[in-house]
Amino acid sequence: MNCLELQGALHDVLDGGRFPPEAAAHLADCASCRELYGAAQSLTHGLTLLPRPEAAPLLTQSIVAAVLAERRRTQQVRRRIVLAVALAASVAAVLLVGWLLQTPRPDDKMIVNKALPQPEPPKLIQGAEDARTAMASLTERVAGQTKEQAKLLMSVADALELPMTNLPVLKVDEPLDPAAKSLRQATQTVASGIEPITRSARRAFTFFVNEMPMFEIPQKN
Amino acid sequence: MSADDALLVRRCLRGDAASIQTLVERFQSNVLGLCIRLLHHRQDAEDVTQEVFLRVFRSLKRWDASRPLKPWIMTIAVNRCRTWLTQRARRPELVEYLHETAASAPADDAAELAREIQAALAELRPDYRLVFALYHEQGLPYEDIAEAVDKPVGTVKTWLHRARLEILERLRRRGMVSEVEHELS
Ligand SMILES: [Zn+2]
Repeated sequence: MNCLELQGALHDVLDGGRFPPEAAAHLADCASCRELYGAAQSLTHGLTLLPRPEAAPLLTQSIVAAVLAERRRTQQVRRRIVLAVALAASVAAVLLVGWLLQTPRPDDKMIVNKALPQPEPPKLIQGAEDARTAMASLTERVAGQTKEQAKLLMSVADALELPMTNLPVLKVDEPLDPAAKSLRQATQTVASGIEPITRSARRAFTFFVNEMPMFEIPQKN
Repeated sequence: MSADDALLVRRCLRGDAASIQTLVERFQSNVLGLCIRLLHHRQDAEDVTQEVFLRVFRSLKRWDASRPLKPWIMTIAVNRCRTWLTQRARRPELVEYLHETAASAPADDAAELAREIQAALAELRPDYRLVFALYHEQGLPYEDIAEAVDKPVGTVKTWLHRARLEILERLRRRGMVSEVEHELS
């Protein structure tokens, strides 16, 4: 046995085991381990001498009182929680019953539905109506402008006192004199001014025709 | 013992004041002893002992009745002492009472030895001192100590062996060595 093995044996003894016989031989030869063994014996004996602290009766009473007080507090809190939950459950039950009583039955629902105002028509109809109005006002304005221009031309013609019935029929291919040229230009200007509008109106009308199947057209009896 | 503990715990859970007192009386010396050993201060140890029992009764429902009650209570005591020591470490002005218990012992040979062992214990690393106290003063087996300090049994054994060797070395230095020649023959 060497010194390290003897240390192991020493721990076994301190754990309550027996000292192995071969350890005695090592102790006889090793002063260091002999001292260590002597110290271990002192420790074993000394541990029995260590004061065992006795709790004062006052400490015991203090602990018990604190435990009981805490227990009472916990029970009070628990009781309050139970009370609060019961109260909340009662309120919830009352609300539920009230709600069930006020909820309309299927028959009532039909009556209610009849009484309700009809749903709003689809917004596209409104949009189409707006577009129609806008188109009408635009066309009306252009037509008005055209009419004004015609009136102006008529007044010029009146001022010149031209015999309207004897006006020569103008051939399109014939070269015109400057005054006539300006009149034809004015007509062409008006026509070219109106053209985009008429084209747009045609396009809008086509669009409405394409969209029409979406709406139910009330049949006349 | 365990069946007795289980019955006592059941009565405590019902709120029986006498049973609560019995349980406190049964374990308060162990708890107080450990607290004094770890905290080195009687008043602190009493305060912590009270805290320990408050926690014991708070969590008594969670105690596994198939296990002994003492190690479970001592685990709570270890944890409370550790918490207390951590808090006290933040208050350095309160650390000056380490040898109070040893110094108050009478001055004969036995008292001298006891005082020396306590002083040696006080110099140990806290982990070593804890396992030494749980093993040699509280009588807990390695497995229960391992559970109380939340370390493997191997670690507990290592700490205990080192604690013993440090104490033995101190006793040897102080000449507190028993004669061994004739005892071994
Ligand atoms: Zn040796």
